[in-house]
Amino acid sequence: MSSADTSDDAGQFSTTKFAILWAFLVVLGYCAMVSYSFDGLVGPAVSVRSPAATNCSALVSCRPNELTLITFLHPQCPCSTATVSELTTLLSKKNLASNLKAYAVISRPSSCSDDFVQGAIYDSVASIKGVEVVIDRGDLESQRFGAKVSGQTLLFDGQGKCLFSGGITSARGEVGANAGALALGQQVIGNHAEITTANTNTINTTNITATPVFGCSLESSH
Amino acid sequence: MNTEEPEETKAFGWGDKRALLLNTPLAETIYRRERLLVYRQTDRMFGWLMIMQWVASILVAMVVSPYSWAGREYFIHPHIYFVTLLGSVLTVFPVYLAFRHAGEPITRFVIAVSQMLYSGMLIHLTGGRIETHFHIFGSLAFLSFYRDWRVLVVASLVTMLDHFIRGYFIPESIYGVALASPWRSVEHVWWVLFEDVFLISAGIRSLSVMIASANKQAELESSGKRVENLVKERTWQLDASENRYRVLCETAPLGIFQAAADGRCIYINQRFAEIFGLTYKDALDNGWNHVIAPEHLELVTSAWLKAVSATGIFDLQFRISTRELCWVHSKASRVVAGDGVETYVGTIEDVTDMVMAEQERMVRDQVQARMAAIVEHSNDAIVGTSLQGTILSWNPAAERLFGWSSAEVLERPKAEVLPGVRPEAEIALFKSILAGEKVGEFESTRVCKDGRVIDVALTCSLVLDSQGQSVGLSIIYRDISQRKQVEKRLSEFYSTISHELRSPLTSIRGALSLIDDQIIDMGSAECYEMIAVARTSSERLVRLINDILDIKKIEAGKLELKLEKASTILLVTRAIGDMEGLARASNIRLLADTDFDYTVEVDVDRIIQVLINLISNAVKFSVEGSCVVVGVQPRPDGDVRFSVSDQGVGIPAHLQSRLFQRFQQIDSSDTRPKEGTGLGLALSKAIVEEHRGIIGVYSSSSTGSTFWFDLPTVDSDGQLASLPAVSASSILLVEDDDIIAQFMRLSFLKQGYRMVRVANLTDAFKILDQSRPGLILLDLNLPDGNGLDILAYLKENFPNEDVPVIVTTGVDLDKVSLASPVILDCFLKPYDMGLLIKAVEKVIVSAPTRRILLIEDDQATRLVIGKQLTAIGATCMEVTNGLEALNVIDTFTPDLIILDVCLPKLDGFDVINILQKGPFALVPLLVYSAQDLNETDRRKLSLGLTRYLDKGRISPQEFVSCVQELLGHFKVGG
Repeated sequence: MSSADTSDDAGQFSTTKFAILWAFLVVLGYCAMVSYSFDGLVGPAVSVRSPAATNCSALVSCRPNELTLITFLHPQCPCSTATVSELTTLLSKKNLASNLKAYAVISRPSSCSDDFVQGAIYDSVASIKGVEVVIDRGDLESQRFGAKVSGQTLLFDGQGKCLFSGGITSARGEVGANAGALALGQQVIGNHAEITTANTNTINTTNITATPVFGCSLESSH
Repeated sequence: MNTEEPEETKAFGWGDKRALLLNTPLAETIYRRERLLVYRQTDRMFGWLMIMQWVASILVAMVVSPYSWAGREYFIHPHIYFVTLLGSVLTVFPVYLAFRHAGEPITRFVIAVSQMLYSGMLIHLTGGRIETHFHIFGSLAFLSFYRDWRVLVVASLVTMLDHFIRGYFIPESIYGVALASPWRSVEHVWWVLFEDVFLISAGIRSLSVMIASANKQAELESSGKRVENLVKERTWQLDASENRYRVLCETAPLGIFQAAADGRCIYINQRFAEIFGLTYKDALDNGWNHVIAPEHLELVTSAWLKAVSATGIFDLQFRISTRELCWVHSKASRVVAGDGVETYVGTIEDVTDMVMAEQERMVRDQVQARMAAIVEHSNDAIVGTSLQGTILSWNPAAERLFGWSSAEVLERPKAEVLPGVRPEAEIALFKSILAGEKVGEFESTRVCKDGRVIDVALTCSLVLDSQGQSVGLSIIYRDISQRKQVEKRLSEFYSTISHELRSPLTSIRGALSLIDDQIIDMGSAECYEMIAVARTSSERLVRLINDILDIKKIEAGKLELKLEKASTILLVTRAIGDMEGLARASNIRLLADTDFDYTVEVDVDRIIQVLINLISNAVKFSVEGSCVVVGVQPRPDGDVRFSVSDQGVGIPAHLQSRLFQRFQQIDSSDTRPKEGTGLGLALSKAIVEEHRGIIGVYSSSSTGSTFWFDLPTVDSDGQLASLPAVSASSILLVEDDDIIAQFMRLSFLKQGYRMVRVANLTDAFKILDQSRPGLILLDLNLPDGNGLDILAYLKENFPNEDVPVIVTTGVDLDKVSLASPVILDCFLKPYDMGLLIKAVEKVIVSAPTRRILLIEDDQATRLVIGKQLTAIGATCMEVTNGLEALNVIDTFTPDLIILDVCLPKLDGFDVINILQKGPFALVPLLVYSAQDLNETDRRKLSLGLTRYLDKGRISPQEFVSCVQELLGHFKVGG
């Protein structure tokens, strides 16, 4: 066997090992990526406190006989643009409940100026008709409602009962039909019929009151 | 992979049926090479694309979602990490393969898998955005660049699995929705397959094109290879040829050159310069025009220009001037280069030795050819023999001389073929010759084939080869039989001539001695008899000498004829007249047989000389009492024949052919009965032939001999061709009877009268229209009228000129009819000629004395001529040279000049030349000289009416007659 053959065999062997390693890394990377994408706050917001309990705030008023829709947004969260988009879609529907009052609470940490709030999220949400933008200075509102992740949307009825708590995107930054948005839609439209998606997939949203929230944390680490 | 072939083998190791469509192994190789190239190029393209794709993904992620927030705090967004890390995983390995193992199957399959997974990552990170789904289609499109359906299949399988798995378990990851129908994955897969169909079919078509291209390229490469090999081979051959020619050019003994059309040298070899005696640089820079020999420069230039303008070929031999006696031969041909430029390639060869050798060979060949021609055409027999006497060559003259053909004698002994009479003596001579002694011509005899013995003169010499060794003998035989005969005849002639000379001289001397010694009394009858003997003998001597001189003149080709028209009767009459004395002395009668008169253009003196010769011979060989007839008869061919017939014993037939040869006499012995030199007939023959006539003889012992000669006539009717003019000194004879007219003419001619005869009135009128004679002798009965009509004609036309007339008629007329003042007398035929002549003499009036200037240096001749002129009543002034003549001529004013040509001081030519320019240019002249005068001399020696007489050739009577004619009178001083 010549040295060239030896070299070829060595090369072939090396390439094979590289290929195996590469396949392993690919799988690992895919798993990590998928895992992260779906690593949102799942389930009802345990810590969410009803406005009644909190007696609402000065900024967000919860009135009887009204549906109060509150969406917490981090102004710099890239994933929340999908939430704003879904919110816009929702609120643009014609047969919305007439007593729906929507708030978009824009987080402004205490050490930040109001400029921190300005950006694409703010502009987008401010342009939604029927949404009152609230600057949550010091994150008082989010803390009062127990919201921790940007994109978390809450729906209260006139009695302060939380009808829905969760995200209205299917994953981080994912725009499209998702259980949260559909469930919320049913709540605000007042029609519990099944919603047929464009892709003809049917999602039964009757009993959905909480969905995972995909977005940036509204709370600082310290 | 160290070699390309294993890589290709590896690349196609799992089979490519399309290779079966390839025509040749080369096409398959090309096809595989092209495919490998495509693989490699596409691998590298994907290498770069994936890097860019990775970088772009990171940048987009950094732009779209740079940070992940937690309240006021922010962190690098995990997407960036994913794009960076997972993207690197999906990028680095295939990129490594693309650049490290480009073209290998694993590379493109890893790339396909990675690219599809990358699409899946992007789909996931963008939340299933449709734009990122199109990344799949784009990736497939790029992967189709491989033109390998397997790659597309693998990629499609990866993406299909991805769609089915993620679509089923985590649809949000791939479709962005939490809930997705399985049909959605089917739909996506269907679109992928849809694209695959087109991409694969396009790839197949592309492969077909590649195959066709490979086949074509294989053909091209194959033919290109062949052409390349051919070019290589040809190049090698060309190089070899060029080397060969270069070596040949440098070592060739020829000068080789290449020149432009203007003669400028482009290339020369060393030998070229050496031949021209030039340095290489000089020859190349300045060419060779300046070394051409001047006498050949124009020739060379002309030949070169001709080659350039037309033929394209220059081929010339010429001499050059740089080396003495150097000849060169140059040949060149036109060569047209690919760019159309014409040059001339040729050689120069030093051919001096060859030219010299050729010239020597030509000279030698010419000499040999001349020698061969000499031998071949020699009149002498030339025989070549070996040293042993065997005949080796035999020329045509030998065949003619000895009668043997060359085929009969070659290789035979000479002694056997040509036996000699004195063989012992000749053998001794041949031995002397073989011993190297010089032996001159010697005479001997040889026996011919027919047995004849001939006299020959032999010249024998040794034949030497190129080494100077004797190889044979050359013998020249000359036939000397005729010479021997001539020598014999000459011997006889000299014997005869000595006799002929001595005899009259003896008579003259004896006769004069008798008178001078007063043995006989002066004035006695014996004295006159002796004088007559001396005169006859001297005339005989004159004839003999004249004959000898004439023969020599004829032999020298200097016989000039003084042609003039003459009457045949006149010629015969004069000849007979001259020979009457001899005939009378021999008791022979001379008769004229001339019925008609003809005109011939001859030298009268020469023809009379011929007639005299013939008559003399006839008289000499006739018996006493017989007669000799001199006749003139017409010939059927228009000629006129003069004949002299005798009644002698005749001439034997076998001797007749020798009669006209020189020095020939029938009897040449000393005891022959008749005198003669044997020159007469030979001279007569020469004179007749000079007149374009022929001469002959017929003879028999019973009737005698007739010598004849034919001469051409001027016209054939027997009349004068043109009418002569008459003058006051002439007699016009009007007579239709030819015999009477001839008789009268001869009679009056003897009396010195000049007579012109016409036979009818018409001719008479014509003559009278031109001139008037001194007298008319008139016959009355003429063919065209009465002769008396002339009287009326003269009276009418020339009333003031009375021409006297004497009538001769055969009719007795009355006096009345002849009553005319101009008719002086009338004679009735037959009349007495003497009375008629006397009547004529009464008519002619005496003329005044004529003055003659005689220019003659010889005293005796002057004395004789003076006496002759005095005898006819002329006054003669004698001078001895030309200068004296010129001195006296003005005072003497001659009526005639008699001139000798050879004169002291001024000769006859000078005298006449002077006189021709003065007042005596028209004076009659008689040139009387012993010198032979040609036509040129005669033209120079002419004044007025001029006659030429040869001294010694004419008789005194002829001389006097000529003088009288020139003086213009019948009789001077009456």
